[in-house]
Amino acid sequence: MKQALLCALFIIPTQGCLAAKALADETRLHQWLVQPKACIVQKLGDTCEIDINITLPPLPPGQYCYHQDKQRLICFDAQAQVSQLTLSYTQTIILTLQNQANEPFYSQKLKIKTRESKKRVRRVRDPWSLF
Amino acid sequence: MFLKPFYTDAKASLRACCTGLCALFLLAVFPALAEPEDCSKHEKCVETDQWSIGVAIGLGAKSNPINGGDAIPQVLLLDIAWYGENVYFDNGELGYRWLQDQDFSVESYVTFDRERAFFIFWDPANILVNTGVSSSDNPNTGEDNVSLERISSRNWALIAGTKVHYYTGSHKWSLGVESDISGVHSGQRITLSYRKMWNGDDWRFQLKPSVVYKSDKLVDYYYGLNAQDNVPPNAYFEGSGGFQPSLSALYIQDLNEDWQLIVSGSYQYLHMGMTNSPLVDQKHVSNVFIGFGYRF
Repeated sequence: MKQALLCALFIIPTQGCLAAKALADETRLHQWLVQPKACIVQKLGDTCEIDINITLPPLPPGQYCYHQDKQRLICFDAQAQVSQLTLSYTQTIILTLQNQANEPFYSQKLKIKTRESKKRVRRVRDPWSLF
Repeated sequence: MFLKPFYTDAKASLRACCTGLCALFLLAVFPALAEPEDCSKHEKCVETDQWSIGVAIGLGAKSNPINGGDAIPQVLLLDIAWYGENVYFDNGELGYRWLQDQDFSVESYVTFDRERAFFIFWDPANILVNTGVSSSDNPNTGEDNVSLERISSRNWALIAGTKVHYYTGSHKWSLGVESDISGVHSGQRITLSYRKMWNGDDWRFQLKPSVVYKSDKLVDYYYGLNAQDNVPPNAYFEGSGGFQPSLSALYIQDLNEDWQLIVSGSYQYLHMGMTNSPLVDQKHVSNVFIGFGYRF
C-alpha cells in the first residue's frame, strides 16, 4: 500500500511499481496469491519438492487448513496465518484453503514442467538392426 | 535327389525349434542380474519428433547361403530412426503404433522383405562397401549348374506386419506376423522372439533368441527352382515352409558422448525345406560385426 502510494506520486511508473501493481491486481483477482505456480523437474515422473509462498488477505475468524488435493497439510487460526509451505508432488496438484466447515475457500492449480521437453519412447527395432 | 522325405524335414525343424525355445526358456528364468530398463538414456529409446542417426565403421560380414551368392560385407552400418507420437520409421520399417504403455506395445508396419538381400549385392541390407569377398571364395558344392548368376531374378516384396511386444523389467517378448502385400510371393512369416538386456553405466549387452516360421510360398519363391530358372530339370525344387531358430547378441560400450564400440553377432539355423534346394549351399546364416559407431 505504501509502495502503491509512492508509485502514484510519480508520473512515469518504474519497473518496481509495475511489479507491485501486478501483485496487487492478482491478489485482488484471485483473493490469494501463491508463488510459484509451477515446479520444474528434469523429466516427467520426477518428484518436485518446493517451498511455496502464500499471500492471504485478512480472513474471517476461525480455523483454516491447507489441502494438497484431498490430503490435509497444515491447519492454522485466522489470526496466525501460515504463509509458507513445503510441498512434494509428481504431477499437477490443486492446493486449497478450507475453512472449518471443510468448504474450499481458495484454490490454486500447481503445475509440473519438465526440462526434457521432448518425450522419449521405446524403439520397436533394435539399434543398428538395418543389417 | 534333391527332395528328402517331408517327415525328416519336419523332425529337424521341430528339433531346431525346440532348441530355440529351450534357449528362450533358460534366458527367461535365469536370475535377473540386470536393472529394469531405463528409457531416459541409451539408443533403444529415442526422442520423439527428432531423427536419430548413427553411422558405424568397422569390419564384419553376413554369410550368404546362396550358391554363388556373395558374403555380405559390413563395413559401414547405418542406424536411422524417427518416432512421432504414433507414426515411426526405424531402419527401413514404416509403422504406426496402436498401443504403447509400460508393459505392452502393438504396431503395424510395412517394410521390404530382407530375404532378397541374399540375391543382390547392391541392396539396402548389404551396406555399402564391397570388400572383395566373392562367390569364388566360397566352397563349391559341385552344383555348378545352379547358382545365383543363372537363375531368374527375385523381385522385391513389400511386407505388411503387426507385432505385439510385452515388456517386464529388462525382458522383452515379441510376436510378429508378416505377410506379402505386393503379390510377389504371397507368403507369410511368423516370428517369436525374446530379448534380455543387461545394462551398466556405459555399456549394454543383449541376447535375443528367436524362432521364425516361413511359409511354403515365401520359401518356394526365393529358394525354389522351376522352368523359369535357367537350370536343368533335374534341379527343379519346390521349397517348403519351416522353422528357423536364431540367436543374436549385441554389445555396446560408450566411449564418450558421441562414440561407441559396437560388437554384434548372430547365428540362424536354416530348415531343410530351404537347405535342400540346390540353390542353397549352407545350413545357416551367421553374422559378425565389430566397429565404432558415431551418433549425430
